[in-house]
Amino acid sequence: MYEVQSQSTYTLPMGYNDDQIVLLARDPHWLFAYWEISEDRKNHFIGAFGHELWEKSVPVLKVTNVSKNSSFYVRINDFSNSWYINVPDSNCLYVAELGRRIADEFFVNLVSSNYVEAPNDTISANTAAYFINYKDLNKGHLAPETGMIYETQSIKSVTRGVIGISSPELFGFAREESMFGVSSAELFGINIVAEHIGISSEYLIR
Amino acid sequence: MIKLSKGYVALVLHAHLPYVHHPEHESFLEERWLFEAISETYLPLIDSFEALTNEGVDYRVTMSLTPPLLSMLSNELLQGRYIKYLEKLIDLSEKEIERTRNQPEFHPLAIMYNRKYKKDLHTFRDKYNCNILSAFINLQNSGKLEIIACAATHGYLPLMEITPAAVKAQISVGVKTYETFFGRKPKGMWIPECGYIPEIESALKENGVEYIITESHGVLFADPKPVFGTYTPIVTPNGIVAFGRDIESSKQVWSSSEGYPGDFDYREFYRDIGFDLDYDYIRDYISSDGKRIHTGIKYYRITGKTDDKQPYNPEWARNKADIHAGNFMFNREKQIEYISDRMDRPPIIVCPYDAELFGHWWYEGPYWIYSLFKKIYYDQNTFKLISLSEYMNENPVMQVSTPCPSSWGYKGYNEVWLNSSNDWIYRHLHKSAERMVELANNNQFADGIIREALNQAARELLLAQSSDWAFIMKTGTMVQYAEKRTKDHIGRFTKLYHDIKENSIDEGWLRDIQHKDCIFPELDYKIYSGT
Repeated sequence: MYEVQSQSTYTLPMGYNDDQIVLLARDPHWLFAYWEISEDRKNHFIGAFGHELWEKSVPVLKVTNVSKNSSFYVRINDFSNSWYINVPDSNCLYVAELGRRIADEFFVNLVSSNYVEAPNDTISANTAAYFINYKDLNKGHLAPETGMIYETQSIKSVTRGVIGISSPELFGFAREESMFGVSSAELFGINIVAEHIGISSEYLIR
Repeated sequence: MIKLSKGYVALVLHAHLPYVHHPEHESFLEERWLFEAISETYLPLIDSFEALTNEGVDYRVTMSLTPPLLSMLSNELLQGRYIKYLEKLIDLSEKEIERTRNQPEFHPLAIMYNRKYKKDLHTFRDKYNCNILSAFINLQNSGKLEIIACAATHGYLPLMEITPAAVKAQISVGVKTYETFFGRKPKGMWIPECGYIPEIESALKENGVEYIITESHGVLFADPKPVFGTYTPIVTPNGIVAFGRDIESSKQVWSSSEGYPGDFDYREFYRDIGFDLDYDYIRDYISSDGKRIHTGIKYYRITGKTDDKQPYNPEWARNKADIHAGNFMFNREKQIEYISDRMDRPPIIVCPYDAELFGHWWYEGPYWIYSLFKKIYYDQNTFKLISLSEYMNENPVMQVSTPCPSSWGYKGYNEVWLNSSNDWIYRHLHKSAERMVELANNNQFADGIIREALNQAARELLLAQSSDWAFIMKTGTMVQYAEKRTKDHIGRFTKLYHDIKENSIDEGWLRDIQHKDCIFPELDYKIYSGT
């Protein structure tokens, strides 16, 4: 039998009878979580705290910013199995716990997520500029700790005198940084570039 | 006096289509994506590159040809169907020559299409023996074209990382496929959708990939701050070199409002005789279920923001492409002149584009590349074209910095592939990846039919992971097909998972899906084991 062209013959399950919550980063300020709680896990809670407390407690996501050691609650509902979570701080590590909140005071964890990093959305404040020959890095296997590499290589490159320019100040980096959308030219701190080499509109005007 | 160039420009074309192969149907609408891309993009690009080579123009271009595309271009069923597609178009264009006999504004265009499709047929069937990959291989061997690898099925890696083995498999199968087709190891890899997270680096490293390309802010927001912005690559502490996309040059070509492809003299994509002509006349050339579709024969130019489109004039369009090539070159000269004075090394302007933009969407695009490369070679000395690995060889000392997680999708992160239209897929993709690892670990020494089933399970998982399905769900056209493909592959995978665990393989059914989803014939499921 040939398959029908427009519809799949397969129906995907609603869940996989797991106890899990998975956290994904959508962008610097939004995470996405999906989850599933088995009947067993729910019954375990009820066995420990009683049915009434399950009914009276509120389903929540406890979102923790691990980098800043702070957390907040997002109230969800018993019918949802996924949620978009707004997070204030980009470039931070987050973890989410699915659980029940009781009387705005107690939190009972049902399941915890993986750790996820909300991506960066600004120019790095770290101006350390170490240069190395990339082939040197590729000679070994996976690089050891990042810090070691930086230290070793920077000393090496300085002694070799390989580096002509590595001082960020030379390029006027002291200027106030702009947000996402910055061009390389702006990163150089040369605003004039936009005018100087900007797209010529001569042929583009409708 | 010979002047030394002050910098470099690298044009990177990413050629990709999702794997669409339906032997179970006599004809299949979505297979036309490949046929249109061959006629409108791949053959015209090859034509431009070969013309430049024959004229003695020294140029460099970098291209990624993804595993699904390589697989389809070398598939005999699809090759045969492409010939039928061309024969049908030649037939239609001959009818058009007759129909437009008294319409001087359209008649030469009908002749133009007739000649074009006859030439395509000759080139494809007689010159390349139905496999245009040989043309790309020749170009790579000539040193003008550098072909880079891509992940197995263009899976979007940042949202796959929860199962590291899945990321590893995408990358290792991508590299192996490259080696099978090109007989050498790839230096670089196009990470699908430029989707970067640091966690992919170990798999890149293990598979010998030396460089990747990220969206502009992948490098601009890297840590530590890159001293030269996107004008030189950075190298991560793991030794992966990352080139950042140049913002200015991208906008000139990509932008729907101010980019070149929107010029009024260029061919209008949306006016096609498949929609314009009488239904009874065009019926034999549209979808078999009677739906009107793009035939590829288009008679109008963009004209302006109006529905009153004017006839296409190929000469005007070519002139405009020449002007735009000159403009692009001029802007790169100014950019490089300005920047190079402020750097201790020659800058590189990295210009990555979807290959299918050139020709399929922007009909004159392949000619624009030809004109641009010629002008760069003859008309200026400020910069040279370069391939990315050549630049790395010439300038191996780089700043150590880790790119920022990013993609080249709308808003620059993961939202295109993770939003309310497609977020439901990840529960199933992640579970299937986890199950694949379980299968591989529990069946270390499988053989016979179980081994075949395990390999097919890996194929189904890879096919389900293609970023195209989530992308199509987001864009809103052909959504049903993308949903069907996701459900089909996860459904097939899930049945295989249970059948393997229960040691009861449905052999007839397995043969059927092996026939349909016959990508990666050498695939070994054990790539998923050990993690």
